Amino acid sequence: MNWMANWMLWVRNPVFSVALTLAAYGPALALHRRWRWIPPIVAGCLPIVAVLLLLHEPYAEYNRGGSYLSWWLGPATVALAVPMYRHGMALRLSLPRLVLIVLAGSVVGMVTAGGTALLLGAPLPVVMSTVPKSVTTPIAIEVCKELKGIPQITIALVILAGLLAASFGAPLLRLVGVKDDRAVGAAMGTGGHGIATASLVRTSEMQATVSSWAMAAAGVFTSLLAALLALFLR
Amino acid sequence: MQRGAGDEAAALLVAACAGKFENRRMIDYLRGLGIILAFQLLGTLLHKVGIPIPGGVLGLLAFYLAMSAGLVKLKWVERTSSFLLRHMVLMFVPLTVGLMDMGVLLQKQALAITASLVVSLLAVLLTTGLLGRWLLPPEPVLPGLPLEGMDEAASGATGEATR
Repeated sequence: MNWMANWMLWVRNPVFSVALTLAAYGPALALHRRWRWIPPIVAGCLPIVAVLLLLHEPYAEYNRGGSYLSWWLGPATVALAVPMYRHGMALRLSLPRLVLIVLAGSVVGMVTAGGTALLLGAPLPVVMSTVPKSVTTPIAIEVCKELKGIPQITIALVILAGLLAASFGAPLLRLVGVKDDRAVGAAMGTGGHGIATASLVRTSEMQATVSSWAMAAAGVFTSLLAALLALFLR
Repeated sequence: MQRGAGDEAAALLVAACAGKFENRRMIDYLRGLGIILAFQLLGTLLHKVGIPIPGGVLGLLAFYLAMSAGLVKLKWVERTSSFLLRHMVLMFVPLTVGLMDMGVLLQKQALAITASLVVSLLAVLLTTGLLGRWLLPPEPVLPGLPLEGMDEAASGATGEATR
């Protein structure tokens, strides 16, 4: 069989999407390692978009294979229990107060995000997509689906929130006089999830520990609160 | 040249079968994966039964409880979980690529989305940070906490801090 003539069949095979994604992810990680300011998610997506546009391949076709990779976000969510448990052990004396602080931060995050979008006249699916924007990606996607939002918008917001928090979060907190390592960690983990947490690792161990815990806890609290919100809306 | 490469591949295969590739680490990964998938299955089932919380989060909660109760040991799952969390970016690449179809919607809603992002981020950072300053006792003295535990916990943040 002349496979060159049937190359479209190869492109349509789900394995092509997975291979293409892996092929883009490896160099994206390498670029991020060399130049820290390049987010791997951006460097990983751009070549894939370019290839799809070049081949006139619709996104839905690509995503048939891509969904095999997205599926792993489920196990990744479950795996968040490990840092949450381990860092929770290290922080056990401040834990009740930290729970309160992160819970308050999560409520404020959801209300202000949804409220601002609503006030500016965004349609309901867009409003719902902004609600989980502070929490780690796999949980944000699931919460967005529960609220009937648009997952892609949520992902873009989650990534931007993380990048902004990582760049401006620490200076902002210093400006308003938040100096306690645990307070800084809690704020960064609640507002900027993993991306902001990663930015703290080289600053302070305590900040990074609290931030890792806060990121997982904020994810859990936000999904519980979103369940209440969904019940209320029904 | 061709034969050289083939010979090398065969040698690698033999070495892998002979256990030179740290079979134990592989088994460690698989054990952790088995446990994590079991909790995900449990979470998914609970979600299907009618609990309106995402299955992954229910799995997370069950997993957390199991670790607190000592049913699952941290060292059984550490390797797999930090692997999954480290490579989380790969898992959401396919969904993010979907933004390519959303140009029109994003353009129309750009103001609402951007404003919501900035306002909400500022609100979360300030609420959490200021509340933390107010509520957390000034001296971070944690008596009775083993120092090694702290070190381990903090170094774990390096691996688990996902991008």
